[in-house]
Amino acid sequence: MAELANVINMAWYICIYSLMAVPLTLSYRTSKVLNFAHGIYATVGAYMPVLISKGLKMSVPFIPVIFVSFAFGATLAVITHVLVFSPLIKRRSTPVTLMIASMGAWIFIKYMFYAVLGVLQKTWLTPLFYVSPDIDVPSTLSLVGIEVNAKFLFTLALTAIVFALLAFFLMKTKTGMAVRAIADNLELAQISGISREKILMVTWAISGGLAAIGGLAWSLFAYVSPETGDSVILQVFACSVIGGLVSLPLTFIGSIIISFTENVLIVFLHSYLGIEYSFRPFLSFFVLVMTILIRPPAGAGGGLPYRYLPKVKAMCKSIFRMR
Amino acid sequence: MFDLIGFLISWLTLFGIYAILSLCLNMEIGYTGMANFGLVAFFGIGAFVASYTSMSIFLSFYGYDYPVYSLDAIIAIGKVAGRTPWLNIVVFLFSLALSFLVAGLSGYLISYPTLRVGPAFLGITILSFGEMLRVFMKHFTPTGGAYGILGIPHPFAWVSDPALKNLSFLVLTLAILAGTLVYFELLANSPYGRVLRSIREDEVASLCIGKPVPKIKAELLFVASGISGVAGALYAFYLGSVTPDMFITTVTFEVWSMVILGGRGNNFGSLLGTLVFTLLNRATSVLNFMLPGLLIDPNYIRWMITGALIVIILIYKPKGLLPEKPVKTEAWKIFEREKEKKHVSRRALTDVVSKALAYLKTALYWLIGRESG
Repeated sequence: MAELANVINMAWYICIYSLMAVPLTLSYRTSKVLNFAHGIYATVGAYMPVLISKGLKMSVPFIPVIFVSFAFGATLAVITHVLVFSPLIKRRSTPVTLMIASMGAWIFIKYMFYAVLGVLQKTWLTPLFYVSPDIDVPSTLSLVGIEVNAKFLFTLALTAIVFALLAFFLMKTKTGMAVRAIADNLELAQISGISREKILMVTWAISGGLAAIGGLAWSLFAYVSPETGDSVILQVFACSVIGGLVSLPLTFIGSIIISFTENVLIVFLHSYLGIEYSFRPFLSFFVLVMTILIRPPAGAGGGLPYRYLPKVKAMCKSIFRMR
Repeated sequence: MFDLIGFLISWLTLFGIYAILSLCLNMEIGYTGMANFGLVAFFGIGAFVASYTSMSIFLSFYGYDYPVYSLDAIIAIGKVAGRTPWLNIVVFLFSLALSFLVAGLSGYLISYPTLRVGPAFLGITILSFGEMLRVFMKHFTPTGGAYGILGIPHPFAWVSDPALKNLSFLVLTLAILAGTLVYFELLANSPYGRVLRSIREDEVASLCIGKPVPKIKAELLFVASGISGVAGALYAFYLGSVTPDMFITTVTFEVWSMVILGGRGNNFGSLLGTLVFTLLNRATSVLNFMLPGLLIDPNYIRWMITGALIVIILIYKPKGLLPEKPVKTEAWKIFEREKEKKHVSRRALTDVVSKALAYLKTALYWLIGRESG
């Protein structure tokens, strides 16, 4: 049976996946780059508290480290955009080319990060792989007489605040409206005098920074390694695909679905059907494939001629007509 | 001292295996425009199928009933592997065929959900398929879980001289590579190959002409995945052991970088790219062995070079080192024949060769169930 621990784990994973998947969808929508390097921004964000706590030999205050992570992730994403994607987008490359370029950038940044960590490890003489950061957060918090894990509460609050700010930014501010305009109709937005390059820069900064905050949320409850971001990137992609790589709220729902399958559904399947826990990744893959089969992603990059949902609808209509 | 012959043999064997992979990927991305980011899945399927079948056939032939991943099985195989040359060869060929079939079929099945969506989704789905398969194999006990299978009987285990053994395996690998190259060259320059290119250029247009695009893509995915499975089987026999962690996503990206460096849509370009990257691979491992305790691991530098090269080539030389050539259509052939009319003596020979190639082509078309045009 599913216990409270599984549900809490699920909430934790919802925070992490949504913090990483929503910016992925955002960046795909505005720039049409399916960014494989997204995982590495999360890794960098997760490593910031570790590097601070090991390098300065102190416990890290929670609030400033959020901004540090955000800044590093945003800088990395903007640099990637300027050096890699911007020249390719200007030449009107195909989406596949952009995808390959992001893959190259991912490999480069990842192993660069490995090399930097290796050097730091040798100079600081402390292990930097598979460690947890020393963050200055009380372990439990007394809330209305109940002892609650403080890190969990902090993560929930962080996610809520981040998404509230993101929604405010996209809906109310002028720049956010420009981002949405670029995502919806590029030509029209450019005719209205919106600079695509500037908006793309802003979008990349936001998406890289939010991914880094997602990594930070990961480092609150587990150890980090240079593979941290890549170990969850496929699930994050699955969340985004459930959202059709178009809609931010649907992406959030996708992250709920994926974390539900990975944390609660597997427990039910284990206790009733005897399925091993190691089938967990298979389940999320199954969800991904079923999403593509049942509700093929609409719009951006979606399969133009093959969607058979209209066919089914037409069949239903013809059946009703016969009656 | 530095063993040049050994280095050459190991490099060329690795080159052969990776070249088969990059030819398959070139067929998929270069000619058809399918972004297959899960090549390693089929590579791994081939390796595991080949190692499992060869181990279990050997064990049952000699009457042992150990599970294939146990230490007893490894010791038993070590004793009996060199006794029966014919069994080694037969098992080798059989497991190659089986890995072709299994990998090809899984490619065909995975094509069903993925081909109906755009390139971005195809990429993600196949990529996650490969990764999920790796995680699954890590927990799958019949093939040894995370430790994998060790002590796979080498097809030339009965040759006593190790250098000769490796050399004969190298010749075999290069022969399979040559067969793959000839097959793909013929396929790419056939009417079928022209359909593939039309799909790459404009899918909707080729659908409108009446080409069954999803079917053609699925067929191509079957063939290419099957041949990558053969490459995986060769890799398993070459190393003598397989573990799930050998088939991480970065292998796919290495093959991608080879294809991009060489030039998409050119089979010889893929060979060139493979040559460069496998040399880099071997060189870093030699460096790692000769200079231990470097500040930065040479492997990291190799991967950084790989990633940077992909980006630099895409930005500054998007067609790669050897750009794509025009299709050898009938009209093109007639034009070239007219040009060569002066060399009458050479013409007889070329006629014979082209006639033989035409027969070979007909046979190959019959094999893939298609009429020659």
